[in-house]
Amino acid sequence: MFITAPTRSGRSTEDADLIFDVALQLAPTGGNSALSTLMNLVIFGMIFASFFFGQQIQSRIAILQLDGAVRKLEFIKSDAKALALRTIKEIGKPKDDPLSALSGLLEQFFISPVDMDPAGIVGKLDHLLDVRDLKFKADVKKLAPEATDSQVNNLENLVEASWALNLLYKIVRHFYLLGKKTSSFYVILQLQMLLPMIMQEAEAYAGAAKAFALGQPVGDGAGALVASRLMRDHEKREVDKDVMVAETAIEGRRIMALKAKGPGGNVGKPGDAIRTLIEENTGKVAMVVMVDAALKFEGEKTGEITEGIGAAIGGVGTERYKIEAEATKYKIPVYAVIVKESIQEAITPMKKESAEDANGVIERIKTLIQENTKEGDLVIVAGIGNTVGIAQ
Amino acid sequence: MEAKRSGMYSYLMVIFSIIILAWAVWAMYNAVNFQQQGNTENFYFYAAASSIAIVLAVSSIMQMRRRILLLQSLAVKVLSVILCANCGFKVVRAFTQGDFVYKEVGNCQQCKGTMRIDSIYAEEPPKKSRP
Repeated sequence: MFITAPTRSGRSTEDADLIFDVALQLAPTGGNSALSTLMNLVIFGMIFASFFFGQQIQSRIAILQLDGAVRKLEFIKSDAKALALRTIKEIGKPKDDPLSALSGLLEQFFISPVDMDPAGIVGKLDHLLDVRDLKFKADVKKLAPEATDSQVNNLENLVEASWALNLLYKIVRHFYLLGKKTSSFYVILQLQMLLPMIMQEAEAYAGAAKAFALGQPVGDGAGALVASRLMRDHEKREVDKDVMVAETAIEGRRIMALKAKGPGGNVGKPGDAIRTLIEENTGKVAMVVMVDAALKFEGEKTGEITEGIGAAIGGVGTERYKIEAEATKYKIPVYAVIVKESIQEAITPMKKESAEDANGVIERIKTLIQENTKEGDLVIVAGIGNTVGIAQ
Repeated sequence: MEAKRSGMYSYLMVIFSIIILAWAVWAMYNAVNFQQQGNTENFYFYAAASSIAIVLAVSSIMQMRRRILLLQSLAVKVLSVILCANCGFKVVRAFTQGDFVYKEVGNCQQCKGTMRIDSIYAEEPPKKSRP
């Protein structure tokens, strides 16, 4: 755009006239009324501001968005805590008000073992996790003295979901306040970029809290549901702490189906249980099939069944390590059949697709067994996942 | 109850936004008329006000649409499927606290066999199919 500067004496009036003329030339209709001049000046001001203060403006907008997200997280966290408190009072019938004890539980932390010298770290981590689980369960039992074992497990899961939301809120608030305090555009930007995923996770935990409070099966229980279908109407025994096993037969093969002890919220220690079963049979196991819910990629269909090789089990890795070590010791092939779900679906009430998949998974297991073993062989089928709302 | 109230608020906001949008269209029509008459001052006023109102109304409608979709997705019904192992008689009812898979829930109306909960799942409201 061509701009002609006016030639007048006096520097300040010259500059003002220049801006005035530029504003007039930029006006859409070329009008010279006071209003159109004002509008042009506003537009100029905005261009100037975006040139020199763009980053600060962007930071302010991001801080406003983060502020809303922190408030929403605080609401979700408080809601989950209130739900936990209400359920503890309803089920556990405590004599004293459990609020302060519950608040203390939500602030608990876990220190991972030092990994500078990684030799033996799995054992150390497993031991610390056992101590943590026992302490958590004992604390919940103290809060809800009238609750049954199954209800204590559900309450423990509910308090854990509430604990996770509390931690998520504190982490997001920490980075939000840090970004605000230091006016660091990059700290704010990083948090803003992760915000959609964080909020999705928080909403999933809120859904999980409701499911655990009511004792509804969650998507993660797809593996446990398959094992329970195999175990139905067969004699069961507790093979290891919180893991049940039943012997059945498929196509002339002996099947040992195992799952965590339900119907309370429980994942058990399937690694220990598989190790015990293999040792009981002196390694004479033809194959191990693990069934679990696994994370799907965006765009993949919920409830899709796929199979692969390896120990299908989540968590920090201690249970997987035990299964892999035992399978390697006796050269036992480990197969995995998974039911695909999103992270939200895994911890919220089980979807119809996943529930209906149980029979499809059993058909896959039958095919695997027929193709890879012979009659009379022993096969271990492990249903992995949280067994809330699923008995055996 | 809370979800119902939240849904009501969303619908009210959408109605309010539609009213603002209608006013914005009227203001834009006026702005065009003023421009044709050569009344620049009024043209600027109506054009600016209409543009701002359109942006606000559309963004508000979009936000509320997202909120309504989220609320609909949260309103899942959890159902318990009860099955008779003898004759296969099936009853589907809403989940009640204390239900769990394989829980015995009485006798079959048809053969007096044992009725057990066979599965529990969440059913989402049917999605509108897009052409």
